[in-house]
Amino acid sequence: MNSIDLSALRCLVVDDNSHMRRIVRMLLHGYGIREVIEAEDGASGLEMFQTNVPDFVIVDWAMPIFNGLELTRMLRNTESSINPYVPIIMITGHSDKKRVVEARDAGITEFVCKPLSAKALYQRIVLSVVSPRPFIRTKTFFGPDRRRFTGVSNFSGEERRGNDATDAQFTQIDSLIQDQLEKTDG
Amino acid sequence: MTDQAISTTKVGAGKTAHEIITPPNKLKAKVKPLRQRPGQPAEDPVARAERELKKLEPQFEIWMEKDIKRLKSGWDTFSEAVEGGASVNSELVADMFHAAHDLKGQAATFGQPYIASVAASMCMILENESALSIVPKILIEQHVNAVIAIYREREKSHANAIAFKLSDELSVATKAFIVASTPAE
Repeated sequence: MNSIDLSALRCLVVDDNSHMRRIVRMLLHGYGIREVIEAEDGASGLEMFQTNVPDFVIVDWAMPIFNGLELTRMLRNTESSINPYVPIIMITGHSDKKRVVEARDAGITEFVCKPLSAKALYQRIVLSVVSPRPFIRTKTFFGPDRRRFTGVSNFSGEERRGNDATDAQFTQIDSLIQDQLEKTDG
Repeated sequence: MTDQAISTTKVGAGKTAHEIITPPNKLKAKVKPLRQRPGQPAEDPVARAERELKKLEPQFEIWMEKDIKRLKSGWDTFSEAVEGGASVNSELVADMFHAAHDLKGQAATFGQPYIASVAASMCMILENESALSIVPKILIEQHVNAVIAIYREREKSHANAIAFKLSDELSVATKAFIVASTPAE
Protein backbone atom coordinates (compact mmCIF):
# COMPACT_ATOMS: atom_id res chain seq x y z
CA MET A 1 0.00 0.00 0.00
CA ASN A 2 1.16 3.57 -0.70
CA SER A 3 2.35 5.41 2.39
CA ILE A 4 1.21 9.00 2.46
CA ASP A 5 2.23 11.78 4.81
CA LEU A 6 -1.08 13.03 6.25
CA SER A 7 0.47 15.14 9.01
CA ALA A 8 -0.73 18.50 7.63
CA LEU A 9 -4.40 17.47 7.74
CA ARG A 10 -6.95 18.53 10.34
CA CYS A 11 -9.72 16.07 11.22
CA LEU A 12 -13.04 16.41 13.03
CA VAL A 13 -14.31 13.24 14.76
CA VAL A 14 -18.01 13.24 15.69
CA ASP A 15 -19.06 10.26 17.82
CA ASP A 16 -21.12 10.10 20.99
CA ASN A 17 -19.07 7.16 22.28
CA SER A 18 -15.98 8.41 24.10
CA HIS A 19 -14.20 5.05 23.75
CA MET A 20 -14.61 5.08 20.00
CA ARG A 21 -13.44 8.71 19.78
CA ARG A 22 -10.31 7.75 21.70
CA ILE A 23 -9.66 4.76 19.42
CA VAL A 24 -10.09 6.88 16.29
CA ARG A 25 -7.86 9.62 17.69
CA MET A 26 -5.10 7.10 18.44
CA LEU A 27 -5.34 5.71 14.91
CA LEU A 28 -5.21 9.21 13.40
CA HIS A 29 -2.16 10.06 15.51
CA GLY A 30 -0.60 6.84 14.27
CA TYR A 31 -1.14 8.00 10.68
CA GLY A 32 0.72 11.19 11.61
CA ILE A 33 -2.35 13.47 11.93
CA ARG A 34 -1.83 15.70 14.96
CA GLU A 35 -4.81 18.05 14.67
CA VAL A 36 -7.83 16.07 15.77
CA ILE A 37 -10.94 17.90 16.95
CA GLU A 38 -13.67 15.94 18.72
CA ALA A 39 -17.43 16.43 19.12
CA GLU A 40 -19.83 14.15 20.99
CA ASP A 41 -23.04 14.86 19.10
CA GLY A 42 -24.25 16.13 15.76
CA ALA A 43 -25.03 19.65 16.98
CA SER A 44 -21.61 20.33 18.45
CA GLY A 45 -20.09 18.56 15.44
CA LEU A 46 -21.74 21.09 13.15
CA GLU A 47 -20.53 23.99 15.27
CA MET A 48 -16.95 22.61 15.37
CA PHE A 49 -17.04 22.11 11.62
CA GLN A 50 -18.05 25.69 10.92
CA THR A 51 -15.49 27.17 13.31
CA ASN A 52 -12.50 24.86 12.77
CA VAL A 53 -12.87 24.11 9.03
CA PRO A 54 -11.43 20.57 9.17
CA ASP A 55 -9.93 18.95 6.06
CA PHE A 56 -12.07 15.85 6.55
CA VAL A 57 -14.73 14.57 8.93
CA ILE A 58 -15.26 11.19 10.56
CA VAL A 59 -18.82 10.58 11.78
CA ASP A 60 -20.70 7.88 13.58
CA TRP A 61 -24.23 6.99 12.46
CA ALA A 62 -26.19 6.77 15.72
CA MET A 63 -25.82 9.93 17.80
CA PRO A 64 -28.05 12.11 19.98
CA ILE A 65 -29.58 15.45 18.87
CA PHE A 66 -29.04 14.66 15.22
CA ASN A 67 -27.43 11.59 13.81
CA GLY A 68 -24.56 11.12 11.36
CA LEU A 69 -26.82 11.19 8.31
CA GLU A 70 -28.55 14.39 9.38
CA LEU A 71 -25.18 15.98 10.12
CA THR A 72 -23.91 14.91 6.70
CA ARG A 73 -26.90 16.53 4.97
CA MET A 74 -26.15 19.77 6.85
CA LEU A 75 -22.45 19.66 5.94
CA ARG A 76 -23.43 19.13 2.28
CA ASN A 77 -25.85 22.07 2.29
CA THR A 78 -24.36 24.46 -0.25
CA GLU A 79 -26.29 27.42 1.19
CA SER A 80 -25.06 27.14 4.77
CA SER A 81 -22.00 24.88 4.94
CA ILE A 82 -18.55 26.39 5.05
CA ASN A 83 -17.29 23.50 2.87
CA PRO A 84 -19.98 21.31 1.24
CA TYR A 85 -17.27 19.30 -0.58
CA VAL A 86 -15.52 18.11 2.59
CA PRO A 87 -14.71 14.37 2.62
CA ILE A 88 -16.97 12.64 5.15
CA ILE A 89 -16.08 9.15 6.34
CA MET A 90 -18.74 7.25 8.25
CA ILE A 91 -17.67 4.61 10.78
CA THR A 92 -20.58 2.46 11.88
CA GLY A 93 -21.73 -0.88 13.18
CA HIS A 94 -24.46 -0.90 10.53
CA SER A 95 -23.16 -3.00 7.67
CA ASP A 96 -26.21 -4.07 5.68
CA LYS A 97 -26.50 -2.85 2.11
CA LYS A 98 -29.64 -0.81 2.78
CA ARG A 99 -27.72 1.28 5.33
CA VAL A 100 -24.72 1.73 3.03
CA VAL A 101 -27.02 3.00 0.27
CA GLU A 102 -28.78 5.33 2.73
CA ALA A 103 -25.40 6.76 3.80
CA ARG A 104 -24.29 7.28 0.19
CA ASP A 105 -27.58 9.02 -0.56
CA ALA A 106 -26.98 11.42 2.32
CA GLY A 107 -23.63 12.39 0.78
CA ILE A 108 -21.14 10.23 2.69
CA THR A 109 -17.80 9.96 0.89
CA GLU A 110 -16.59 6.66 2.37
CA PHE A 111 -18.10 4.04 4.66
CA VAL A 112 -16.10 1.96 7.18
CA CYS A 113 -17.75 -0.90 9.04
CA LYS A 114 -16.85 -1.84 12.60
CA PRO A 115 -14.81 -3.57 13.89
CA LEU A 116 -12.52 -0.78 12.85
CA SER A 117 -9.19 -1.70 11.33
CA ALA A 118 -6.21 0.63 11.05
CA LYS A 119 -5.77 -0.35 7.40
CA ALA A 120 -9.39 0.20 6.33
CA LEU A 121 -9.59 3.67 7.86
CA TYR A 122 -6.21 4.70 6.43
CA GLN A 123 -7.23 3.56 2.94
CA ARG A 124 -10.48 5.52 3.09
CA ILE A 125 -8.74 8.70 4.27
CA VAL A 126 -6.04 8.48 1.61
CA LEU A 127 -8.58 7.75 -1.10
CA SER A 128 -10.83 10.67 -0.08
CA VAL A 129 -7.97 13.12 0.09
CA VAL A 130 -5.79 12.11 -2.82
CA SER A 131 -8.34 10.99 -5.34
CA PRO A 132 -11.74 12.51 -4.57
CA ARG A 133 -14.71 11.71 -6.77
CA PRO A 134 -16.51 14.53 -8.56
CA PHE A 135 -19.74 15.76 -7.01
CA ILE A 136 -23.14 15.20 -8.56
CA ARG A 137 -26.15 17.45 -8.14
CA THR A 138 -29.61 16.25 -9.12
CA LYS A 139 -33.04 17.41 -7.93
CA THR A 140 -32.80 15.02 -5.00
CA PHE A 141 -29.10 14.51 -4.37
CA PHE A 142 -25.92 16.45 -3.78
CA GLY A 143 -22.76 14.59 -2.90
CA PRO A 144 -19.80 12.62 -4.19
CA ASP A 145 -20.49 10.55 -7.30
CA ARG A 146 -22.07 7.35 -5.99
CA ARG A 147 -20.44 5.24 -8.67
CA ARG A 148 -16.92 4.64 -7.46
CA PHE A 149 -15.10 3.11 -10.36
CA THR A 150 -17.04 3.84 -13.51
CA GLY A 151 -16.69 6.82 -15.81
CA VAL A 152 -18.92 9.81 -15.15
CA SER A 153 -19.97 9.84 -18.79
CA ASN A 154 -21.89 6.59 -18.23
CA PHE A 155 -24.29 8.28 -15.84
CA SER A 156 -27.86 7.76 -16.99
CA GLY A 157 -30.19 8.68 -14.18
CA GLU A 158 -30.42 10.25 -10.80
CA GLU A 159 -30.56 7.00 -8.83
CA ARG A 160 -27.53 5.26 -10.37
CA ARG A 161 -25.04 4.05 -7.79
CA GLY A 162 -21.78 2.15 -7.72
CA ASN A 163 -20.89 -1.02 -5.88
CA ASP A 164 -19.12 -1.18 -2.56
CA ALA A 165 -15.37 -1.50 -2.62
CA THR A 166 -13.92 -4.93 -1.97
CA ASP A 167 -10.37 -5.79 -0.99
CA ALA A 168 -9.62 -6.62 -4.63
CA GLN A 169 -10.75 -3.16 -5.64
CA PHE A 170 -8.29 -1.60 -3.24
CA THR A 171 -5.51 -2.76 -5.55
CA GLN A 172 -7.16 -0.60 -8.18
CA ILE A 173 -7.44 2.24 -5.67
CA ASP A 174 -3.75 1.91 -4.84
CA SER A 175 -2.68 2.39 -8.44
CA LEU A 176 -5.11 5.30 -8.74
CA ILE A 177 -3.53 6.95 -5.71
CA GLN A 178 -0.06 6.34 -7.13
CA ASP A 179 -1.12 8.03 -10.39
CA GLN A 180 -2.54 11.01 -8.51
CA LEU A 181 0.56 11.42 -6.38
CA GLU A 182 2.83 11.26 -9.39
CA LYS A 183 0.76 14.08 -10.89
CA THR A 184 1.16 16.07 -7.63
CA ASP A 185 4.92 15.47 -7.66
CA GLY A 186 5.11 16.58 -11.25
CA MET B 1 -3.96 25.52 -1.55
CA THR B 2 -4.85 26.21 -5.15
CA ASP B 3 -7.08 28.95 -6.48
CA GLN B 4 -8.58 26.75 -9.19
CA ALA B 5 -12.26 27.40 -9.88
CA ILE B 6 -15.00 24.81 -9.46
CA SER B 7 -15.80 23.20 -12.78
CA THR B 8 -19.46 22.39 -13.46
CA THR B 9 -20.87 20.43 -16.40
CA LYS B 10 -24.60 20.11 -17.06
CA VAL B 11 -25.59 16.70 -18.39
CA GLY B 12 -28.87 15.21 -19.64
CA ALA B 13 -32.36 16.68 -19.55
CA GLY B 14 -35.64 16.11 -17.73
CA LYS B 15 -35.50 13.30 -15.17
CA THR B 16 -31.87 12.46 -15.87
CA ALA B 17 -30.65 16.08 -15.72
CA HIS B 18 -27.72 16.52 -13.38
CA GLU B 19 -24.60 18.55 -12.84
CA ILE B 20 -21.12 17.11 -12.50
CA ILE B 21 -19.13 19.35 -10.22
CA THR B 22 -15.37 19.05 -9.87
CA PRO B 23 -14.17 21.18 -6.98
CA PRO B 24 -10.43 21.96 -6.87
CA ASN B 25 -8.63 19.38 -4.76
CA LYS B 26 -7.07 21.65 -2.16
CA LEU B 27 -6.17 18.73 0.09
CA LYS B 28 -3.81 17.12 -2.39
CA ALA B 29 -1.39 19.97 -1.78
CA LYS B 30 -1.35 19.10 1.92
CA VAL B 31 -0.27 15.47 1.49
CA LYS B 32 2.80 13.88 -0.03
CA PRO B 33 4.30 10.42 -0.32
CA LEU B 34 6.31 9.40 2.74
CA ARG B 35 9.96 9.37 1.79
CA GLN B 36 12.21 6.63 3.08
CA ARG B 37 15.26 8.01 4.88
CA PRO B 38 18.55 6.49 3.76
CA GLY B 39 19.50 3.55 5.96
CA GLN B 40 16.13 3.62 7.79
CA PRO B 41 13.29 1.13 7.42
CA ALA B 42 10.30 2.43 5.42
CA GLU B 43 7.67 4.12 7.58
CA ASP B 44 4.34 2.33 7.66
CA PRO B 45 1.53 4.57 9.00
CA VAL B 46 -0.83 1.61 9.39
CA ALA B 47 1.69 -0.35 11.52
CA ARG B 48 2.31 2.80 13.56
CA ALA B 49 -1.46 3.25 14.08
CA GLU B 50 -1.76 -0.38 15.18
CA ARG B 51 1.01 0.22 17.73
CA GLU B 52 -0.82 3.32 18.99
CA LEU B 53 -4.03 1.31 19.33
CA LYS B 54 -2.15 -1.34 21.33
CA LYS B 55 -1.34 1.32 23.93
CA LEU B 56 -5.06 1.49 24.70
CA GLU B 57 -5.35 -2.22 25.46
CA PRO B 58 -5.10 -1.78 29.25
CA GLN B 59 -8.28 0.35 28.99
CA PHE B 60 -10.25 -2.25 27.06
CA GLU B 61 -11.33 -4.30 30.12
CA ILE B 62 -12.59 -1.21 31.90
CA TRP B 63 -14.50 -0.09 28.81
CA MET B 64 -16.00 -3.56 28.24
CA GLU B 65 -17.19 -3.73 31.83
CA LYS B 66 -18.82 -0.30 31.51
CA ASP B 67 -20.61 -1.28 28.29
CA ILE B 68 -21.81 -4.58 29.76
CA LYS B 69 -23.17 -2.75 32.82
CA ARG B 70 -25.09 -0.40 30.49
CA LEU B 71 -26.53 -3.40 28.66
CA LYS B 72 -27.65 -5.05 31.90
CA SER B 73 -29.12 -1.81 33.18
CA GLY B 74 -30.99 -1.33 29.88
CA TRP B 75 -32.35 -4.87 30.19
CA ASP B 76 -33.45 -4.32 33.83
CA THR B 77 -35.33 -1.14 32.90
CA PHE B 78 -36.97 -2.84 29.91
CA SER B 79 -37.89 -5.93 31.88
CA GLU B 80 -39.47 -3.94 34.73
CA ALA B 81 -41.46 -1.82 32.28
CA VAL B 82 -42.80 -4.88 30.44
CA GLU B 83 -43.75 -6.55 33.73
CA GLY B 84 -45.55 -3.33 34.62
CA GLY B 85 -47.65 -3.66 31.46
CA ALA B 86 -45.72 -1.41 29.04
CA SER B 87 -45.94 -2.37 25.39
CA VAL B 88 -42.72 -3.40 23.64
CA ASN B 89 -41.53 -0.82 21.14
CA SER B 90 -38.30 0.73 19.90
CA GLU B 91 -38.47 3.55 22.45
CA LEU B 92 -38.63 1.10 25.32
CA VAL B 93 -35.57 -0.80 24.10
CA ALA B 94 -33.56 2.33 23.14
CA ASP B 95 -31.04 2.22 26.02
CA MET B 96 -30.53 -1.52 25.67
CA PHE B 97 -30.15 -1.13 21.89
CA HIS B 98 -27.50 1.60 22.19
CA ALA B 99 -25.46 -0.53 24.59
CA ALA B 100 -25.80 -3.60 22.32
CA HIS B 101 -24.92 -1.50 19.27
CA ASP B 102 -21.76 -0.17 20.95
CA LEU B 103 -20.74 -3.70 21.95
CA LYS B 104 -21.40 -4.94 18.43
CA GLY B 105 -19.06 -2.27 17.04
CA GLN B 106 -16.37 -2.29 19.69
CA ALA B 107 -16.13 -5.67 21.40
CA ALA B 108 -14.04 -7.23 18.61
CA THR B 109 -11.58 -4.31 18.85
CA PHE B 110 -11.46 -4.99 22.60
CA GLY B 111 -10.54 -8.63 21.92
CA GLN B 112 -14.05 -10.10 22.47
CA PRO B 113 -15.34 -11.16 19.02
CA TYR B 114 -18.00 -13.53 20.38
CA ILE B 115 -19.51 -10.74 22.46
CA ALA B 116 -19.60 -8.63 19.29
CA SER B 117 -21.40 -11.48 17.57
CA VAL B 118 -24.01 -11.93 20.35
CA ALA B 119 -24.53 -8.15 20.43
CA ALA B 120 -25.01 -8.13 16.64
CA SER B 121 -27.69 -10.81 16.97
CA MET B 122 -29.36 -8.79 19.72
CA CYS B 123 -29.32 -5.64 17.54
CA MET B 124 -31.10 -7.57 14.78
CA ILE B 125 -34.02 -8.07 17.18
CA LEU B 126 -33.99 -4.66 18.83
CA GLU B 127 -33.84 -2.58 15.65
CA ASN B 128 -36.58 -4.49 13.91
CA GLU B 129 -40.05 -3.43 15.13
CA SER B 130 -41.85 -6.43 13.63
CA ALA B 131 -39.33 -8.93 15.04
CA LEU B 132 -39.53 -7.18 18.39
CA SER B 133 -43.27 -7.72 18.49
CA ILE B 134 -42.97 -11.52 18.18
CA VAL B 135 -39.67 -12.35 19.88
CA PRO B 136 -40.17 -13.87 23.33
CA LYS B 137 -38.68 -11.76 26.10
CA ILE B 138 -36.56 -14.71 27.19
CA LEU B 139 -34.55 -14.60 23.94
CA ILE B 140 -33.55 -11.01 24.66
CA GLU B 141 -32.65 -11.98 28.21
CA GLN B 142 -30.57 -14.89 26.91
CA HIS B 143 -28.54 -12.49 24.77
CA VAL B 144 -27.84 -10.27 27.79
CA ASN B 145 -26.88 -13.26 29.92
CA ALA B 146 -24.69 -14.66 27.14
CA VAL B 147 -22.72 -11.40 26.95
CA ILE B 148 -22.23 -11.43 30.73
CA ALA B 149 -21.25 -15.11 30.79
CA ILE B 150 -18.82 -14.93 27.85
CA TYR B 151 -17.07 -11.98 29.43
CA ARG B 152 -16.96 -13.53 32.91
CA GLU B 153 -15.61 -16.87 31.65
CA ARG B 154 -13.22 -15.38 29.06
CA GLU B 155 -10.02 -16.65 30.66
CA LYS B 156 -11.13 -20.23 31.30
CA SER B 157 -10.05 -23.11 29.06
CA HIS B 158 -12.64 -24.00 26.40
CA ALA B 159 -14.20 -20.54 26.90
CA ASN B 160 -13.90 -19.79 23.19
CA ALA B 161 -15.56 -23.03 22.12
CA ILE B 162 -18.52 -22.39 24.42
CA ALA B 163 -18.72 -18.75 23.41
CA PHE B 164 -18.74 -19.75 19.73
CA LYS B 165 -21.54 -22.28 20.30
CA LEU B 166 -23.55 -19.81 22.35
CA SER B 167 -23.29 -16.98 19.82
CA ASP B 168 -24.09 -19.38 16.99
CA GLU B 169 -27.21 -20.78 18.72
CA LEU B 170 -28.49 -17.29 19.55
CA SER B 171 -27.89 -16.11 16.02
CA VAL B 172 -29.81 -19.09 14.56
CA ALA B 173 -32.74 -18.52 16.94
CA THR B 174 -32.80 -14.79 16.14
CA LYS B 175 -32.72 -15.33 12.39
CA ALA B 176 -35.67 -17.69 12.63
CA PHE B 177 -37.72 -14.93 14.31
CA ILE B 178 -36.55 -12.35 11.79
CA VAL B 179 -37.69 -14.60 8.94
CA ALA B 180 -41.02 -15.31 10.68
CA SER B 181 -41.63 -11.59 11.21
CA THR B 182 -40.88 -10.62 7.60
CA PRO B 183 -44.08 -10.32 5.56
CA ALA B 184 -44.16 -12.61 2.49
CA GLU B 185 -43.76 -10.72 -0.81
